[in-house]
Amino acid sequence: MALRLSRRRIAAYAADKLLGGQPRSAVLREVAAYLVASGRTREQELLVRDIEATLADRGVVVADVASAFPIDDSIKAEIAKLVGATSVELRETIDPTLLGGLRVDIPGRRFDGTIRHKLTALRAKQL
Amino acid sequence: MADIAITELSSELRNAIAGLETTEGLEDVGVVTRIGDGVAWVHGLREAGFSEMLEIETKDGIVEAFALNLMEDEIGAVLLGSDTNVSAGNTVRLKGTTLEVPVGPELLGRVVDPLGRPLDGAGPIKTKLTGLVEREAIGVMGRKSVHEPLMTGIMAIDAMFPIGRGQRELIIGDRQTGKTAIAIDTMINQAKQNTGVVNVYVAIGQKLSKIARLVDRLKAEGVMEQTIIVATGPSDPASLLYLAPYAGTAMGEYFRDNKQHALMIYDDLTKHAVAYRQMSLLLRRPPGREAFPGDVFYLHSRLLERSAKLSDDLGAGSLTALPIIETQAGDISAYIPTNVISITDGQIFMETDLFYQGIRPAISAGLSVSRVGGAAQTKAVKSVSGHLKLGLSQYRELASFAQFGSDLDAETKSQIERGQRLTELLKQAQYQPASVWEQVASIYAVSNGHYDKVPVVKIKDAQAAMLTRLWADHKDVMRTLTKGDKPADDILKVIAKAAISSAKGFEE
Repeated sequence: MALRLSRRRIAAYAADKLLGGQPRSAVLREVAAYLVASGRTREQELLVRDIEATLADRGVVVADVASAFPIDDSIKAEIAKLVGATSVELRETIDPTLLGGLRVDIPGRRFDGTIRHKLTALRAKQL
Repeated sequence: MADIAITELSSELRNAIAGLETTEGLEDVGVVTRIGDGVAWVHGLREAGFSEMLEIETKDGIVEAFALNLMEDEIGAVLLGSDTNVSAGNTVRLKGTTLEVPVGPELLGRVVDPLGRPLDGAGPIKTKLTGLVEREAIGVMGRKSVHEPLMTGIMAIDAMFPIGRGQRELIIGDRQTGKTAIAIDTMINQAKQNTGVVNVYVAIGQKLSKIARLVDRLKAEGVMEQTIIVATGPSDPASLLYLAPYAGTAMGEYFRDNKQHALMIYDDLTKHAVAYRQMSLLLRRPPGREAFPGDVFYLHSRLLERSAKLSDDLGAGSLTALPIIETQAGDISAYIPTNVISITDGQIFMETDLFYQGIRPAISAGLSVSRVGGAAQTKAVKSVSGHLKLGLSQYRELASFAQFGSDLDAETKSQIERGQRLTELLKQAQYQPASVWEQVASIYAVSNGHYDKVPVVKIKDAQAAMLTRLWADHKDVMRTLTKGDKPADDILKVIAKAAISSAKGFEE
């Protein structure tokens, strides 16, 4: 049997293909076929994260922005500057439990400027 | 040259670091993918270093962990708290530091867990400093050979297997043979003789009732003020048991590095190895002999190497270690015992048979050894104990012959008689460590034949009578003797006189 490939290598392969201009559906079909053949379909979520992380290393970032209230364009520009990548795609969600501020998740890293996070940090310090 | 205030520089730097810590920016985060048995598997955190601290954000607060397995796709981290609140999907943050514990004199008299949190209900501990839990041992040039005695107060040890400051002497034996008792007596002796040595007792997976009893006893003996107890119980996570000796050593190192002397007691390293085996197996590291991982030797060698006598340039402090190992059915050739025997500078072997014969402490004269302590032995004790070990070994050999017949020549008979008296003399009650003068006088009286006519069963009575008389009549002489120098002839004459007169009252 062939050597088990690490997720990082599969992710690097997929990222290369995607950035090389291959159609998304073809690359994903190829990866899906590999996962099914090697019985590793349970790792699909993690693999998606790995592909996102590899793409981020190469300047293509998908950022999840969560905030308590809708954000305007100037903030969006600030976020793109914070992330510092060549291409930034924002996925926005509104979460009132954050109380205020916003949280930006990019693969492997996080900026947490929400009031909820600050309260949690305060509580952890007191304990 | 501009006048640079170094103290201000350091405080400014500290403020700058504190400022940076609160500055918000992009943090490295990962996510828990699997959790169970106190081990969390984390996806992400590519920047994580070995043994680095992680913070897992759960809905009930933050649980700390440290990264031990750094693999291509995931990280294996061992939790320092309960895993019941941690679940897959929790966010994990890098703390950016390796594990540190509070250190300093503020810990004296306290019972703490391996993270330095108080367990004795006596309020928070306000230490100013922290020490690295995993720290490299001092190098060759920073060391000096062991030359000062660390008196245990146990006659058999101080006379035959002396321990020096900076030495690592293993206490090994089966269960219930008095291993911990030796360690406790040594701690008590440091307070009774005012040696200034700080005790750090590390309980690894010990029953909490036993630790509570120990604390009560140390308080009653007035030893607790110069003692730190690092306690872990059987219900604590394996990670805490694994960290306990390293954390305790970090606390002891503070005293070593500040020109003081500290005594580490690891009770016991067998349980430590078992806790590490559990962690390693759960982290899926390959098992080796007896299912211990491949680095179980390094586990103990890096711990015990931190005990040292420092050179004069570094302040001449010392850290002495008394690790304890429990054997099964007296088998000292098992895996962990042989490892630790080869790491330490000697061992005190406790025998079950001796214990049940009533010879307590049940120290085996044949299997015990102190490889470096000879140079550190108090001169006073050394001058009288020269023939003690030889006399006892000869006695053991002859005693086995003597069982077969009673027709023995006079010399053999006298050797056996002397041996019986020496054995009796070295019996010592628990919690009653003997000072230098008591040891010198007792050994001198028996090994010079002054008690040859005293029946074996009355040796201890005669000894007590002699010591009482000596202290009552010659307090100043005995105080001189306690300083440790080789006794002058007139002092020996005083002892001989007291021995002969005390023997008279017990002869038959």
